[in-house]
Amino acid sequence: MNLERLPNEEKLSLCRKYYLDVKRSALGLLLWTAVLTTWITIFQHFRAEWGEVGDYLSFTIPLGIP
Amino acid sequence: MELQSNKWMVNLLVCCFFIGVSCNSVEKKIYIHLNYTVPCVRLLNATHQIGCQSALSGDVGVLHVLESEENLDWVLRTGRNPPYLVILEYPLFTRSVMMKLKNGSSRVAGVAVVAPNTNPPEGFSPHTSCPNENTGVYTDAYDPALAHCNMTVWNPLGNGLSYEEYDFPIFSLKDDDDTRVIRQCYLDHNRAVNGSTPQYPLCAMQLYSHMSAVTDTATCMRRNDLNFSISPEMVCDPLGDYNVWASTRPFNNTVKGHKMWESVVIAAARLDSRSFFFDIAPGAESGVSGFVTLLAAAHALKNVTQEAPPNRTILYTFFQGETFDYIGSSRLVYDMQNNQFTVDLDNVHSVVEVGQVGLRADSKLWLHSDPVSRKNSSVNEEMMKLINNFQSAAAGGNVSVEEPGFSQPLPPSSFQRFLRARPIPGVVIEDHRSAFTNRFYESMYDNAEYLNISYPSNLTAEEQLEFVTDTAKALTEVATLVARALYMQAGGAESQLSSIKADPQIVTGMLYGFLVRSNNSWFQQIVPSDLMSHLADRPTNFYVGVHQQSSEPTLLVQYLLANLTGNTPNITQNDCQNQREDEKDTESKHMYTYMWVQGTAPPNSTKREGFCVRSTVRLSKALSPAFDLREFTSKEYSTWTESRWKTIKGRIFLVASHELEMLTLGVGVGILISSLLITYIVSSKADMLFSAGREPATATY
Repeated sequence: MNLERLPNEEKLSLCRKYYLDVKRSALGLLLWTAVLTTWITIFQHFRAEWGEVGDYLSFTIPLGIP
Repeated sequence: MELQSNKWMVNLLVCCFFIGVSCNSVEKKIYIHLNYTVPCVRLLNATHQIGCQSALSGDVGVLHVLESEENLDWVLRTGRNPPYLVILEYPLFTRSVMMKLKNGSSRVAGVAVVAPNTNPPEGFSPHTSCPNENTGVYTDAYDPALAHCNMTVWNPLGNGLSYEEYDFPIFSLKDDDDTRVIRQCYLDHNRAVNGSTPQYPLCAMQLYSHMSAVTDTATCMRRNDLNFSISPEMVCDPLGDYNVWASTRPFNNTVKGHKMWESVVIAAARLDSRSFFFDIAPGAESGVSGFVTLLAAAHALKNVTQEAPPNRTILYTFFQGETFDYIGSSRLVYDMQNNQFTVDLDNVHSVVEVGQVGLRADSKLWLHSDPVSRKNSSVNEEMMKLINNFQSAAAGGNVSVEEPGFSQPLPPSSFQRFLRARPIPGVVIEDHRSAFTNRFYESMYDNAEYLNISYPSNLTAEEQLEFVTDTAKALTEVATLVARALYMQAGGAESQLSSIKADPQIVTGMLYGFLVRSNNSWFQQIVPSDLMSHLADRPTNFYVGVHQQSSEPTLLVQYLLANLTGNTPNITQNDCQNQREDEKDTESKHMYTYMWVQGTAPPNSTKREGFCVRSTVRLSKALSPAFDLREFTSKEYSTWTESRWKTIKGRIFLVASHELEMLTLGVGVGILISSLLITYIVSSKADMLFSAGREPATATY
């Protein structure tokens, strides 16, 4: 569709629809930042204590430290 | 012409440049690298990790030569430039100093111990005071009064240093020129005069010995297997090697398990040893004295067992890895129980083990036996016969044998693992009545000097190999006794005993080869040509090592035993290397082993003439059953593993103070920022600052 030929009200409603997606995306960013930060902090802190489970969840295991 | 002369000038200048300039490396002006670096490494078992660990990029510490134990205060509390790298002279390498350093390890970057050129006068043993206490036969279930060395502490001088965990590197230095450079660097830069703080720059050392494995064997074996990357990274390896065994009568080796009507007397000795540092294990009294005696006894019995063979077969076994919870003997007993060995435990009639016999103070040898199994009357009867056989064998010799005279458990010995399986009559021959006479048990001082092996000063290497020392004569007497007792125990006639004599020339040659220099003419003759590179110009190292690498002592004992107990049939090299007597023979390889060895060169040529040795010598794997069963937390079997590492090195250099480093960094950053600012300002005002130098273009006349 040719955006220049749309009347102004329709342009406004289109903008509102796309801006909703932007708002949802920002919400997702906040959510994922929180979840990943929490998980990474917990995993890095407790990986040594979890022993076997910690080793099976790891992709690379540092040498020489528990 | 101008261009030509220019070209010549340029050529001349380039030539002068290359001649005048020499390669100057900045790195060589800063660092002095250590040539001789012997670290202590990390070993792990089912529950613990022992040994030392450094940081991945090395541990840097300001050098401090420790003068006395009170001087430790400077390192641990009052010194102004922590962390310190402590240089210890050997009298200060004691448990109290090391424990204090271990507890203050935030201020300690590492330790370097200067090893003396001669043995210290008082004893030193970094091993535990009760060796192998959890894997022998004396457990709380067997007899609580005898467990955990409650009755006799075998190694009273043991300070347990080898079995502690340190989180800084510990290296060993020789007392030579490099160490003099280190001490001089300390005296020039680091010495605190009258309580004043030494000024920067200070002399520092950096030690690298980063170990990959951590926590315990189960963790490191799990991490060995896990690894998603293309090249998996192994972090640790199990300790192990091969046991060497031979029999006086050939057995069909391809048929494993019980052999009907065969009764076997096992003659055992231990091969390996260890010390605090990696790959240093002279093991003179703890290992060499025992197995050299047994090898000489095997040679003494060679003729009589072929001419007047006794009823029972004698099985000579040399166990590897006994220091680390009986790796070799536990594996042999396990194989016998699972029908994986040529004979099984039902075939074993009795066991005679030769322990530490090199330091006989008053010509007496002690026969240790197990009091708990002797409570059974049939076992006790066999034991009395065994002791009688020893008394008959000792009659007419210079050595007397006696039992300790009171109820005492067995010393740490491979025989304990046989008793763990079932009560078998057996005896362990030692030179100590209760605690060890060995004051340097499992340490780097248990060497030729401790056994009093000394040669007159003007002998060449060849003459030293032939010279019969007093120690060799003493061990020959013991070997004769052991050989005669084994022959009696195997059911031989007493009338033959006088013909059994050990050869002192052989004993002194073996002692020279194992304790002074393994690259000598006799050892060169008895090994194949592709193993010549394994012989070294230094004493043999008896550390068992990881099981993938077969160690020097196993090879030497294998070929020595073959040479001393085998025959030399007249067959071609091709047949010999294919394990057969002639083209059509397919049976001999089950009974015998054929080895083609180098031999000597005849007097008129330089090419060696090899020959074939046919013997019953075979190798049996000495890897703890815990690794085959994958029970890495086993309490039954040895679970010792050795960590892997990437670099081991050390270097010395001068360090500047922290404030000077920060100042240099700050000045550099300041210059960077100011240069950026100036460049921005100048470029924005460029048209004002730099005029064109001609009239404006718009001017017209």
